[in-house]
Amino acid sequence: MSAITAARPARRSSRRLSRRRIVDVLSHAYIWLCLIVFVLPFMVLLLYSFTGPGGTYAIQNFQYVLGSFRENLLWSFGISAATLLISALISLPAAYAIVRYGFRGKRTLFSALTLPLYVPGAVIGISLLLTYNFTYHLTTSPIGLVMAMVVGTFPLMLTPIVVAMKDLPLVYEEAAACLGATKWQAYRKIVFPLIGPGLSAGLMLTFIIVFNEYLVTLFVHPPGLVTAPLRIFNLVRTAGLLPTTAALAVTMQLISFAAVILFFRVFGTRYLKGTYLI
Amino acid sequence: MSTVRFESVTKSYGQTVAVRELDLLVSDGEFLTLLGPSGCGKTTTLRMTAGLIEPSGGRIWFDDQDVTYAAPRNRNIGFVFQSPALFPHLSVADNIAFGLSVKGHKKAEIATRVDEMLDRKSVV
Repeated sequence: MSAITAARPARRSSRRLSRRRIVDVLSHAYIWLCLIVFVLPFMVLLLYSFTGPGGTYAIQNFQYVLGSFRENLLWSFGISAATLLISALISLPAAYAIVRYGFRGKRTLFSALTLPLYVPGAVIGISLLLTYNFTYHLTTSPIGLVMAMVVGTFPLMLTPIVVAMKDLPLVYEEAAACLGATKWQAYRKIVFPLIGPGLSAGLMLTFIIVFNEYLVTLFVHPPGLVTAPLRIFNLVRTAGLLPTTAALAVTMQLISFAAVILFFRVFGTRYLKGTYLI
Repeated sequence: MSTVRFESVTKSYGQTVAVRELDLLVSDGEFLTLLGPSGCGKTTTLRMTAGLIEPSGGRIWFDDQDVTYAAPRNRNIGFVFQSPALFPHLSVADNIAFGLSVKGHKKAEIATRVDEMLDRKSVV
């Protein structure tokens, strides 16, 4: 009698436990499946970049990254840096004007300004090629490429700054003005640091897109200026997929990851901590 | 200290009139309280005094100086905001120092005056 009563609850709980275990296993499997789908291409590329002749293991592939690919990477960094600078110099005052001043057609203007995000790279590329070729003859200089990058990506810089400006209460600027600050002092000492997270988000997004952009570059790059993504594209097209090319691709991916990690580590929400904004 | 004088000051936002032809004299050293229901123009009046907004009509005088359209920084007036307005990215000391630093005072002088103020308020 006592044996039966003792056995019953135990069996019921074990059944319940096994059901929970099945759900556990399934949910784990689902998460792992998603992770594998997301991470697999990168892992395959990583493995392939270490493949030597005859299927051996070779770290030498990465010597090419600093050897013959060095110039391409430097071009990519240079174009990215110039684009970030110009884009930020345009977007910071633009965002301030859009948020702080009212004018007719503001919403329409802002929508129009974000248009480049929805236009395919090939369309931007061909239209810029036409424009620059016939108007400024800029397709033979890196300046043309930088301008193309700015035109194609500046909504990525503008939008996070606009959002940060909108989140910033006007009261800080007013307090600064009452304490004797000029408009410029209030901007430099108060507004600029407080929209830091927005600016850094814009910098990060723009960097990742510009650094990895090949389609627009393909249209407007001057002869002899080959950025790293364009080099990858050219090599894959002419020589097939070589492990050395994979090594360059892995390097570029690591640089992009580093930019994201740096953003969250260094900037993150540091400036807004301790305020009622977060 | 100075006197603050409003001369038929009006402020309207489109069709809405926030302050209508206000005449007001605050004498030197006077302690004045504005009391009224919300939306009656108390804040608008204060913000016009500080120079954060410009009146649509009328004149504002500090003593015999016309400050109607003067920038806030040229008025030398204190203003306590309704919502918290401490600069969140600056330390307490830097918040206190802000007014002096934007007016171009020397670093050493700012430091002593900030210390003095922190002592007086027993912050440190």
